[in-house]
Amino acid sequence: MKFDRYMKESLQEMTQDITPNPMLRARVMNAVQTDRTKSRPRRMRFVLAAAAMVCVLATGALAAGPIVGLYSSSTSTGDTQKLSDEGKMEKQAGFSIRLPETLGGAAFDNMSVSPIEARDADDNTAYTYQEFFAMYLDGDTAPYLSVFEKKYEGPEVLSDKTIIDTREIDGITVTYRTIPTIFLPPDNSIQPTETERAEEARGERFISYGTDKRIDGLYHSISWEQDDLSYTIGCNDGSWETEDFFAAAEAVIHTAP
Amino acid sequence: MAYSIPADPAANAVPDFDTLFEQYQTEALRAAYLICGNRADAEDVVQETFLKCYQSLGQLKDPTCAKAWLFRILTRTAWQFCAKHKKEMPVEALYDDQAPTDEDASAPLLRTDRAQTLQKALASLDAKHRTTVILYYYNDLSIKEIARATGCFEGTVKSRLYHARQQLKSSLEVDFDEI
Repeated sequence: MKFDRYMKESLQEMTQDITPNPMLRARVMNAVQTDRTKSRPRRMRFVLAAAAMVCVLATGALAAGPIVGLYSSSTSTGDTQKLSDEGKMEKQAGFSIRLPETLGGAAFDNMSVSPIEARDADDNTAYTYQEFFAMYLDGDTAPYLSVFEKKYEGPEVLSDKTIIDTREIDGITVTYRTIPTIFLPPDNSIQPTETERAEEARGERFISYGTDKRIDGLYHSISWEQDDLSYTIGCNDGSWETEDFFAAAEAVIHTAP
Repeated sequence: MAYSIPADPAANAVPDFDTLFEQYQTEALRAAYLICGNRADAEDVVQETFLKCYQSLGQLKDPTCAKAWLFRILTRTAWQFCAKHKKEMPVEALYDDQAPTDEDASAPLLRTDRAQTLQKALASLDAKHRTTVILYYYNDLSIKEIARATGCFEGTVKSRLYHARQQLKSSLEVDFDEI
């Protein structure tokens, strides 16, 4: 047999039973979703104080002025797909987390802890805190759970028009919102309309950059405070309804820390 | 009578992400499996590869280069995984999920034996030589495309292919027909 034919046939034999698991697509789409989610504009979170904030950085320079943005550092813990790593994540985050194995109908997929930098208009880092993320999968819906210390929560910048429903679960106020979103190419080749910009300014819309074409969607968010922590379950698009989000919130609230 | 077939504009369009994924997911997974040596790493490599494809799809201008472009990303990602994990795959693990066939009992055994032998021989190559062999024989990329995928000169690809062939022929202990 010729060597080339031997190689081609043998390599085909070695891989003939290797077929993509349906979960592979879900994992890829989840990673894409995570990428989109982390590139969305964050809610402005301020330490409740005066509009101007001054703090001394490690270098001795001063960060002055209001916080204008929150940024995820790329140096997160790295994703882990093991629920058993919850203890390690909590140690990194500095707080205990209510982490269910399933979120409504969604199965746990991975989790990580990321440092978040709050920066002023001059791009100085005013302060940093840890935010915990856990990703779940339910078919075409990929909800994530975000947790951070309540003291970093600031005034709500989303319009009340985005509120769909507010309920009490075990004495905890839980608010569910939907926010129309636009993802745009980063090269400014496509611009939002003036109406859309005005909606963003009023807290009725998210506009984010990083896709290769304009993508319109709907961002879902259900949030509450528990154990001095701020919990949010968020999701871009997907097929979950209002009741699915409240069921997911209830699952977290009832999970022991 | 001469006539012309109007060009299909869609045929010259850069594929969208979903099309790219559907078209190449199996081939990408199998190539990653051959490079990394185990399925778990292969799935991680493929996930990371398609995420990078999604993030940089705007950079792909020539649809005819889609496959080479994707395998360039996959190759780099697989090498990073191999360097990070530096794991050797147990050959036995390859065959845990092989389904029985209806063929003659000896046939699958023979195929398995050949595949096992080649797997051991491939494992003895370093990652760059192994990747060159896989991209050439499994993915059917040209020397030029392999050069683009692996970030080296065509001469380097030819050299790697030559040395890999020599080493494999020696390891496989099979009498190959000469051209």
